[in-house]
Amino acid sequence: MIDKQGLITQMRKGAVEYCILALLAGRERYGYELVQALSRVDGMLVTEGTVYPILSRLKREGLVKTEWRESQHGPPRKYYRLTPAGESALEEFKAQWKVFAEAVEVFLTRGKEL
Amino acid sequence: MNENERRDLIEGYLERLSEELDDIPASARRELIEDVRSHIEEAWAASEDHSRAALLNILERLGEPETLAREERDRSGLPSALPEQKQVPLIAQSGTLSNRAVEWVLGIVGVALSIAGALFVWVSGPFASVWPFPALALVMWVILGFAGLAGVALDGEGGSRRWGLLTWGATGALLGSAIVGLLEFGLFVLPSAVVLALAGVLGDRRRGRNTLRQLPVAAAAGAASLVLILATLVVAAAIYQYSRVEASPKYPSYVTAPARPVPTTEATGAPSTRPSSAQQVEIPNVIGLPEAEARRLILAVGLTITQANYQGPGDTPDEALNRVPPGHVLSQTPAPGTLAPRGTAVHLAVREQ
Repeated sequence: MIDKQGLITQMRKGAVEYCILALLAGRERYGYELVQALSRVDGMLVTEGTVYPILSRLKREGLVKTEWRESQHGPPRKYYRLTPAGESALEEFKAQWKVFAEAVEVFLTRGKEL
Repeated sequence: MNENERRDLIEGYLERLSEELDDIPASARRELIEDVRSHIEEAWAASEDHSRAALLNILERLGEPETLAREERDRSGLPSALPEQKQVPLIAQSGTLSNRAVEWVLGIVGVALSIAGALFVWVSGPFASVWPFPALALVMWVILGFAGLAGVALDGEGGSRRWGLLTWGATGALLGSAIVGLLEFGLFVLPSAVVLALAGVLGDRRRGRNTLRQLPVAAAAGAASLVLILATLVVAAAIYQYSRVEASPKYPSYVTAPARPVPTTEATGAPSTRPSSAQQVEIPNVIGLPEAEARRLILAVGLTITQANYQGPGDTPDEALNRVPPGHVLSQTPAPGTLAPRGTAVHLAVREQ
């Protein structure tokens, strides 16, 4: 069996990409804003900096688009926005995650009865 | 905290990040660094507390540069994306001898070989003739050997990923000196360069670095050592020229051949029947010396170089030929010890190589 810490890390790594896509659904955000939003919920981000490699990968895969824009307070900001490909990837993940999470929940709570 | 302190902290962090990312394509590296810089500026602007501690907290929350770099490698799907602990050892099987232990052994063997090579060149007669190589080689090779080992030692977990470059630089410089001295003795430094290169490859694998990206450094170090040695040669040639004019050549202590008279044009307390004019030169005894050494000696006392006459079997009786090794002087005219005007040509008979 995979060691526990490694498994949690891998699961978080896989899920955090979709959490980022979910945060971008319907509105664009800049990097620091995304980090802020992710750290608002405990357990999702271990180190804030790792968001940026994930963002550049999402960009390389065409799931998000970026645009630099001037900011009223300070330096320009790089805004991230979902592409149509990003939207469909998010929809697909949502559907599958729901099924998967419910299935795991069933075993964890009612495993004895089955 | 003043603006300078603030900038130093931020730039220091980004510099470390850049070092950790040295094996990642430049465009991706620049993008990540710009993203992180912009994050720091935003967080700073959003913070009401503008103390040094507040900035340290921002950097702390960002994470160690090494963590970010590992994430970037994992996410970009580079060949080095394997986490370090999952690297397959190149030679050693885990459990018996770790990769790291093999690197240490290679590093130590590399130093030992560089010392051995330098010592061999130093004590062995024929090679010692090529001044200033032995002195230079002894010092340089030993230093480079230890530099290679230091690279291995510092390239441990947690240290900067750049230390691997030290091993590669030393390897390149050793190879460079091997190329310059190839004909005379360069081969004696090759084993140590090869062993250190192996240690370098192992270190790169363990740390997930791309060896190809280390090679420019090795090449630069090689070129530098090549230039250094050539420059020393030029200086040495100039010194020879100078000592010839001085008419009192000084030889390094290791240039000694059996039964060679000390060449000099100074008055030596000889009988007054000998003309002690400065124009007269005593012909040195070069019989039995390597040809290059003989020529140098002749030039050094103010006589001129002559063409040599190469003798092989059939030209000269074998027992005469076998008195000296190939490439050494069989006989000379004028005879040793006679006086001749400055600039006189000395003719040499040399045993064929």
